[in-house]
Amino acid sequence: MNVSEPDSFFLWELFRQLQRRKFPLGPEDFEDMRRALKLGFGLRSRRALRELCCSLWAKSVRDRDIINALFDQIPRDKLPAWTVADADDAPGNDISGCDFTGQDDETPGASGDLEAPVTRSFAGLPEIRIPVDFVTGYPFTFVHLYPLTYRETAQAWRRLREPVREGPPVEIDVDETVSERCRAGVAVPVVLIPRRRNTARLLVLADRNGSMTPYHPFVDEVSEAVRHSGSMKTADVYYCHNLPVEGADSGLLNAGGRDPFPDVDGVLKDIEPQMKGYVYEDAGLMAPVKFEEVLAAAYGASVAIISDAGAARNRMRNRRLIDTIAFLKGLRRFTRRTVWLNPADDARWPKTTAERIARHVPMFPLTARGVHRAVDVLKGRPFYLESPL
Amino acid sequence: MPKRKLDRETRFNGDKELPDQQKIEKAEVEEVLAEGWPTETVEKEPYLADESLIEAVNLAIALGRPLLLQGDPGCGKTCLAYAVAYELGCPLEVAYVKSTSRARDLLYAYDAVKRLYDAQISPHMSEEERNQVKVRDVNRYIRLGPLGRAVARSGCGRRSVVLIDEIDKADIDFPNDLLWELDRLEFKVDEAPEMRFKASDDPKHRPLVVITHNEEKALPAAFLRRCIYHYVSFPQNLELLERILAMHCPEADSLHGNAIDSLLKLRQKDLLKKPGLSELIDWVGYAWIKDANAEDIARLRYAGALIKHEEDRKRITRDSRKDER
Repeated sequence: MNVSEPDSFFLWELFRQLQRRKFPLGPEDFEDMRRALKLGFGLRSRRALRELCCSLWAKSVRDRDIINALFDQIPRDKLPAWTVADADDAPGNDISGCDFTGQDDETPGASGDLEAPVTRSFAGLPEIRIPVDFVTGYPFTFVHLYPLTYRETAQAWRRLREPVREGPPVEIDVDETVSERCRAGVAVPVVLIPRRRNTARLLVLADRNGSMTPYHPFVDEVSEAVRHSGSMKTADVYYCHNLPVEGADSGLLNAGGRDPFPDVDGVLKDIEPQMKGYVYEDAGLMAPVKFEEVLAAAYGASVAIISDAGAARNRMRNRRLIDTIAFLKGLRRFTRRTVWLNPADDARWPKTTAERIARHVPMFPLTARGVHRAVDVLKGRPFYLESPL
Repeated sequence: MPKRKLDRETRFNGDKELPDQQKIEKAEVEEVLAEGWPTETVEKEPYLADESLIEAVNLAIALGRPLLLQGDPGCGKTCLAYAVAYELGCPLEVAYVKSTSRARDLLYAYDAVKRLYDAQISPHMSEEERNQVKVRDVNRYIRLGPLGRAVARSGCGRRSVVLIDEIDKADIDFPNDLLWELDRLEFKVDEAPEMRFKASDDPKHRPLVVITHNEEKALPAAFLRRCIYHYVSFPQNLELLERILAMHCPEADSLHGNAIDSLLKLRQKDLLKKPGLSELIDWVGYAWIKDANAEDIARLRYAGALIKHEEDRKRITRDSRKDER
């Protein structure tokens, strides 16, 4: 293979594809690929070249799978031909059932024997030929791109800090040591104080099923990030369907809520706080826990509710609205710091229950900006509410 | 990122023909000396690397980028660094990252408490002693960390291998704070402005940095970009598994076949924690000491070394009862 050919074209195309997929790659990364090829890396076989691409450009298992898939889509005539059959490329005695790699069961030239599929001509319509490259290998590679990445979530939530000195005394208190020394006039032991730790606690209540179903993988990624990387003292995630509590008196809205946009403010005072209900420890809603117990444990903690509140299906439900207000009132008995994160875009909120709920609780879209603003509110930044509870 | 010179000479071969022990420069020393450095005898680390891993190590050496290893626990990520250091004959500087680790700890530590103690002038001191106060010499209170020693050693014209183990244990900004130092391989000590360390320009003496990562936390993109990535997977190949076992427990060769069979069967089950290589090696080693025979191994005796969850254990017991019936 001649590496000094203009821009090693086949890899340039792959590189561009990866950049479009938001891989963090710069010109040096492409340059390093060329330098590595010049040193003789990745020249042994097709598989070795693919592994070189992964080593240099992949940064996680998911990245690696994408590169493998895209690499296999490179048309064969664009790749250099390896004349020496390599032991690597022959299907070995791979252990089936073991994940990762081992997909490379192709032998050089195998796909050249494939015939291009052709439709039969029917009723005077022309034949359709599908190029072989399109049929073999992986025609499509799907990856999820959420509005909010794992890292962004973790970064936003770690701003929720309540540093308190607790634990074993390990840090030196210079001021105190100096003043002790001055007071005593002789050498005294240094004064040690505990290190500052984050004592912020967070309770996440995630709505599940129904209109939230399309958001499940996204919400899972977000709650995983909160749980593992938020660096808070505790970060618990509980699940529920719609709301943890139900059964507020919807008769409060006159005529059973026939009015599509009722005035709740008039009866706001009459809605009783609700705390009786169940939340679930698992996303499958199989392990119920009493909501009151969860609330008692989270006394004074920050609470984030993740729900579309009817915005996903463009719905306005009076019963849901009343239930939500009763729920929020119940929540306020345990903590005053509550935010609502809505996975549906804020352009979808108008004329839905979400818009009405947003009058009573700070609601933000579940985006990087939205989560940052939510954390600001939880940290105590004033937020204007049209109708506070 | 500055353009680095390519290292065209150094190669890691995963060589099995190395002596069982050799004298290597001592790591974790108080001070990195330009000459007359201490040595220590290091035992060989049995390690069988597959082709692609060897290629990744060589790529990292040639391009001078850190090697980021990911993979199931117990698949030999940490051991690789030992094996590479042994084959290249250079000292291995290890940094075990903890949740409280700061990036600076890898470079140096400044002992303020000791200096403060020394600053206390004792009434028993003679006039002469008081005049030559040693606390003015800040260098006495600076101790280099693992990466710091490797950079200093490179400045003296010797290579080291640095292992940064489980980088994701630290705060999520930890890797970001290391970007400059990993790129430039140079740093200065803030407390002692005249103390500066810089790695040699010669790529032969450039430290090789190996980083392991368990995916507990997402690493920053800027950091990832600089690394060569390799996923250490469970061996895909029966022969390789047998060779690994033969290397670690050569005396127990009568157990190998059944042990590998049992392990592969276990890995096909949907267990909470799939047993990995290190569990397999421990298990066979222990069974051998206990005089177990191939039969015992097939019946998963001493499986405590393999199974780490009560749930999994119950499940295996249930399944094996079913099989007996």
